[in-house]
Amino acid sequence: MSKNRIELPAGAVQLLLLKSLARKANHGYGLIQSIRERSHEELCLEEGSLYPALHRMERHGWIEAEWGQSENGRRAKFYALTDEGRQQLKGATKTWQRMTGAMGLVLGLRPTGA
Amino acid sequence: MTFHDALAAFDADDPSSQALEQDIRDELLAHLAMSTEQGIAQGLSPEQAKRQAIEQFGNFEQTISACKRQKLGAFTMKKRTHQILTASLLLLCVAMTGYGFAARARVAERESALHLLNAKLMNQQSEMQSMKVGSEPQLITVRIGDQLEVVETYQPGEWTGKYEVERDGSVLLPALGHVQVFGLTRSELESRLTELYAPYYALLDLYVRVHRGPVPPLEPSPEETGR
Repeated sequence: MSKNRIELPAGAVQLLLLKSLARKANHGYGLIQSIRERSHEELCLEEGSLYPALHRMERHGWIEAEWGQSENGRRAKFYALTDEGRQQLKGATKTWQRMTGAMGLVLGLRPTGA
Repeated sequence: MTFHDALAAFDADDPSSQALEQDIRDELLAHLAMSTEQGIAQGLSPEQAKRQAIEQFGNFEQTISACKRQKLGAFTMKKRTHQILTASLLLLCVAMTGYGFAARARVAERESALHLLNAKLMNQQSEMQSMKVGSEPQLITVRIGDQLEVVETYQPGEWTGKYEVERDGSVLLPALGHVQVFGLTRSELESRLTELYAPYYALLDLYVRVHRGPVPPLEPSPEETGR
């Protein structure tokens, strides 16, 4: 794990989780691994942030949970995106794009086109 | 223990809260198990892998509490808000009741003090009136035919009133009967009446005003007054 931890802004953890679950349903441990791999080890969610965020999102109705079996046959709680979650993901992504675009303008960064 | 931990502890006896906590605990334990398995897969001993997983996880119990708060969210807040509002309302009622009693006591105290002040002012006015006619107020002595106005502060309605000095130099007073007052000064009269009424009342504060009556035809003899 990188020692130069990136401090994620407010709402970023939720957005990362919504996007990850949009790809496939997963348990908490799997979500941490998935985000770390996709970010090339730059983003390492802490368990203390991940699980409260998942439970908050579940209370909002953006995701739903169900006990199942992991790849190793272990019992684990899987989360999946709901329709409301997809709407939330859409809105949150637009907001993120506006924010990062505005930040880039101020900082004089060229858009990456990603 | 933080405030949030205290709230969690308060809900600990609730069965639904206990079930939720167990569910969260199972989920996090499953996470630790998967993390331990990965450590073992990376070449660590089971004990080392378990230790690494626990260290990496951070504060286990704190995470459970945080998850409970997030999961209960609005329901807990509503329940807590309802409890706080109920407690606040009860406290307000108690405070207002206490304030009401205190306010009534203060009003009664003020009325008593005003009455006392009023009586003192009346006496001062009487003394000043006497001084205007050129005589020392202390030297006014009671004569036959005078009207004695007695004012008592603590029992204002009981025997406050005017009493005429009779031909034998006495006045007929409630509870005391005839009391010789001829020739007494105002302060002597107050002391005498206070002494006589003391056995009847625990609190006593009386003032006497002497209203001059018509010029008496004759003064009673010493034998009549007993002085």
